[in-house]
Amino acid sequence: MLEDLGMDEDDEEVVPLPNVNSPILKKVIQWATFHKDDPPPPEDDENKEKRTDDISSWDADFLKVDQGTLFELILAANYLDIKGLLDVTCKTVANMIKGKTPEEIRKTFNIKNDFTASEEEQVRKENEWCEDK
Amino acid sequence: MIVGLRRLRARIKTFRTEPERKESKMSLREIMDSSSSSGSEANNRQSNLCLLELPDIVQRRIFSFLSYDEIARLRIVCKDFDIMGKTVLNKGLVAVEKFRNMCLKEVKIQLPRRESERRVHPLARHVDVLMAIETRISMLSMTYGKYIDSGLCCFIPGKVLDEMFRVLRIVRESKTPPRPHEILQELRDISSMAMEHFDEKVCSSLKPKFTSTPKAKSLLTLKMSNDEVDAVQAVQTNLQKVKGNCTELRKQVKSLRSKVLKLGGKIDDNKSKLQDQSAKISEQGAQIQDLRRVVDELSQKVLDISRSHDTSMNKSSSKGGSSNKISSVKAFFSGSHTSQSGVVTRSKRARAQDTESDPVPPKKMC
Repeated sequence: MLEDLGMDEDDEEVVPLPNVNSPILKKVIQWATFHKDDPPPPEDDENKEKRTDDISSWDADFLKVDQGTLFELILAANYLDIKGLLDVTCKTVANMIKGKTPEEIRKTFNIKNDFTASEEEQVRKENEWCEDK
Repeated sequence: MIVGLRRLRARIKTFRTEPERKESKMSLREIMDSSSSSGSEANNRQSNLCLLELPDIVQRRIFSFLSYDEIARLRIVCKDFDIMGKTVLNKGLVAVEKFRNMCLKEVKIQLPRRESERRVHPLARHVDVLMAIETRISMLSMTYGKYIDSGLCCFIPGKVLDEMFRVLRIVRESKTPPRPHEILQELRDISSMAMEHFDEKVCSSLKPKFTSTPKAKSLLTLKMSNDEVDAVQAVQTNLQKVKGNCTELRKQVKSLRSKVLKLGGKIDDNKSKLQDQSAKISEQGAQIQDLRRVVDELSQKVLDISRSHDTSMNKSSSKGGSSNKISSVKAFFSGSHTSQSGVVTRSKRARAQDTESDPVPPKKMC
């Protein structure tokens, strides 16, 4: 992020963070302090299987927050380019999605079904291919 | 992480107020302690942020932790999930082909050049599996490809993508993978099921849309609204009209050019005629000059002759009739330099009169 702003790491200049409020920043600092000795995260490999069952217990407890805070942490991690925090928060959301029916997902995330009847029927027909007869 | 912590320390300064700066500097632990005490406040404060309000890049990252089969099932949740799911599934088809090509390249480097040696090489099984996957990908591309390109549907069977990636990972990581017919059985079954279902149930509803949809719509992204699609179509119809007008104008320009060429030819003919006529006029003028010179010479000769005759006549002044005739000839020649035809005619008359006056005996008629 400092590179994007054209700033040096040793600069004492104030860095503006208009997209991160103070409670979220404090949470981010808390996470970063705990993970300060972590090795650098590996580069993304799209061919490698992506697992969501490797979240540590500390991270799991840290992320037992409401959805709004969780999404704000995701936004902050994305803005501040903290890959480790971004990955763990996205995995947490993915785990909230896995195993749920479409209606349960709508309820969990307060999503409105904006399909028309014909559109929904079309999608359902397309996905019927794997149903056992 | 230490570097990241230094950055965060610098950023904390922005949140310190003036009175706090005058106090002793807070250590990071103190900040954390205060944050932990206020953490409950953060937990209690509920944000109104929704999953669908997250940026696309973040949504794609969340979806990247789900299998393609789950993503295909999630398409029905809402339109945003459908659009995101279609994008991810279509990219998945491209990604699996790319991964397969990469695996084949890695294996081929290790194979001998001779075909006979390749058949008994330990990596022969890997090659067979990879070639079989290539065949499946080709069949799936032929089934779904044109509808995906025209934007009418996406690559529907996410489960097939998951299975392909699973097999490719086994081939890549294992030195002795299972036999091809064992490892590929599930992939063959589900891919055949998917293609059969698509051809029988889904294709029939998509074919009319495919034939009536112009190819340009396939270049539109899935997230374009209906208004934008209508605007693009209106622009396309206007372009067609402009093209038609251009062809008509081209025809008119062509006819005008041919007319201009014809007129140009006529102008050239007239110019050449004018040149010929001016040459003739100048030639005739020269001829007139010559004739005038001749007439002057002749008139001078006649005057000389008449003078000599006068002197001879004066000597024999008793013969008075011929002197009157000679004076009339002189009067005639003094006014004879006006026209060509007149000069020619009068010079003939003058000769005739001269012959009458001269005592030349007439020729005898036989």
